[in-house]
Amino acid sequence: MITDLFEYSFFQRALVGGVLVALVAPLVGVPIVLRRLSMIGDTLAHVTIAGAALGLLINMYPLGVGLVFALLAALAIEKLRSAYRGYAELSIAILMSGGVALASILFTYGRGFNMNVSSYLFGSILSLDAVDLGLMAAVAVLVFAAVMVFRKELFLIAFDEEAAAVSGLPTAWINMLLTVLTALVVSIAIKAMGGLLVSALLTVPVACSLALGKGFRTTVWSSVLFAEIAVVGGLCLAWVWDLAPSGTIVLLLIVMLVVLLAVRRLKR
Amino acid sequence: MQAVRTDVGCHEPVVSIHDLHFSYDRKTVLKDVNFTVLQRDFVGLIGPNGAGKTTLLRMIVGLLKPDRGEIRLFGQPIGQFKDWNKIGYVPQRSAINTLFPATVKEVVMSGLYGRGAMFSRFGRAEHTQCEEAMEALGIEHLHNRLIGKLSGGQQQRALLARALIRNPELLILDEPTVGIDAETQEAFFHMIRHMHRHHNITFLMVSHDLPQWTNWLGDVPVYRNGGLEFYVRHSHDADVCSENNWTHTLRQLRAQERAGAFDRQMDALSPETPTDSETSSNSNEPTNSKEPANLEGTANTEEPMDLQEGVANSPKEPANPPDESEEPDTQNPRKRPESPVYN
Repeated sequence: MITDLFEYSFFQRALVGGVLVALVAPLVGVPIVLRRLSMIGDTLAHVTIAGAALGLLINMYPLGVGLVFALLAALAIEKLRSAYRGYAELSIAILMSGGVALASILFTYGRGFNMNVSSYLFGSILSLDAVDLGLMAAVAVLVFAAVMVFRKELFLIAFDEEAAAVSGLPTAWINMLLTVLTALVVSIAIKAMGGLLVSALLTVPVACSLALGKGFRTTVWSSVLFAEIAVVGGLCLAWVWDLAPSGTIVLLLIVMLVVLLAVRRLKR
Repeated sequence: MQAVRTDVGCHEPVVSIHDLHFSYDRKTVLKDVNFTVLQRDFVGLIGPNGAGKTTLLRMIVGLLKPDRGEIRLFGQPIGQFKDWNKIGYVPQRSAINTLFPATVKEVVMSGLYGRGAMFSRFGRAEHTQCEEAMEALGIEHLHNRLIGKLSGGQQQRALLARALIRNPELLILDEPTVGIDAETQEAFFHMIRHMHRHHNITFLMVSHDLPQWTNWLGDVPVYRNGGLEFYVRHSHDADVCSENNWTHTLRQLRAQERAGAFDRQMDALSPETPTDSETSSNSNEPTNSKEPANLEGTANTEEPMDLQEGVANSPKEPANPPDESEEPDTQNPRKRPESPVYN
């Protein structure tokens, strides 16, 4: 029964999209979580929802408009962060409220256009089309390449930003890069995972790998592995039990986290 | 392998500070600070909390901009200074996130990251360099442990290895002994003093704990500004710019320590039985837990000055145990040459 599933083209597309997102989300998630900016994914997601709503309203490709909005939000976060030095999370909170406010206005305004609100809030991974996959693949390749090229620098700003600055690294530039990469990941993941759940894919796999208590390299790759297991497993389980896919994926991740924490406790 | 520097002259100014002003929220923190750190000096910047030590240090490493005045690093105005590889920086341990998932090796390796290494891929050479750095500081057996799981002293060594791996010409230490037990502090001082004497490196250290350092830096500051006191120990007359390979410098030290431990074990063996307390006090120091017998060869290759130290030490500093060989006081920490640079 499960094997038949893989022959449906919509499921194949869902699988490819999910695997792409699960590859890049933890890659940016690790430095984000370690810099204690876990909520940045949520903020960017809410702004992306507003962008997607605008796209639907003006009849433009919603994921594309969402991506532009996410990038603008990334720039705004960095700008606000320097305005509220020492309160980095305040800039995140301000933008999150702004994003939700804008999205609610746009969605209400477009009620007559029969906008499918819930697919952007909770995701519709089974309805990904070829254009979506094309954009997701292009962005995923870009993000993966950028993280690989700058992995040393991303490690250092996450571990010790002062040492990074004393080493002559352009820390403001690297911070901006990380925020922009996160915005890219969130905007391609929004249709698959939904705006309310996308940040779970940035943070929960990282929480799982932190429970392993290993070094940075192992933490990064194990979080990718956890995300991939959750996406593939979650899609299959959702099919078998007829559940919402993105919700199943996130709950599976949380189950994995609970098990890992329990194992760690037993080991002590 | 460490690159041997041949382009360095002695007594060049490494850090020059002219008429430095800094205020924070309209409160003046630093006013008219003038000071020059010469090559191979050990400068202790001592003062109570709130005197502006860390502020000054942060300006010297470019993390803060002064309101007025000028800082030059290796003769260049700090705004134009690009050669950050020449500077090793050991932050306060409290600045490090101890929950961070990084192994000791990853932390030490990150000392090689920087502007110059931004697009380069690290290969075997860098890994060897990292292993040598960990070995020189006696933390090679901890390479796979998480940085947060180490003791304070071990963390300090890892951060020092990270700063030294790039073979810096200036080593900046911010409160290096805070939160470390007395025995480990003494081992740390010993290592720093050894490096200062034998290695071609300039030190700038910030500490609020004056008594710890006056014994060695002398008890009269060379320069005073507000609550800040600058103590200087020169080593111009010692082995002039001889040693450029810091891993070698620290290997000498470890060999010395092991030889000291070996001597003590022999002493302990000659009466009836070795006492437990003797061995357990050594086991804190990772280097001492190795077999001492095969280290004689290493110790013999040392320059004779190491032996002189041991001899000169015993009558001078009877309070110290034999392996804590204090530097002989021939370099006059108190009687400094009058140098026009210090005003």
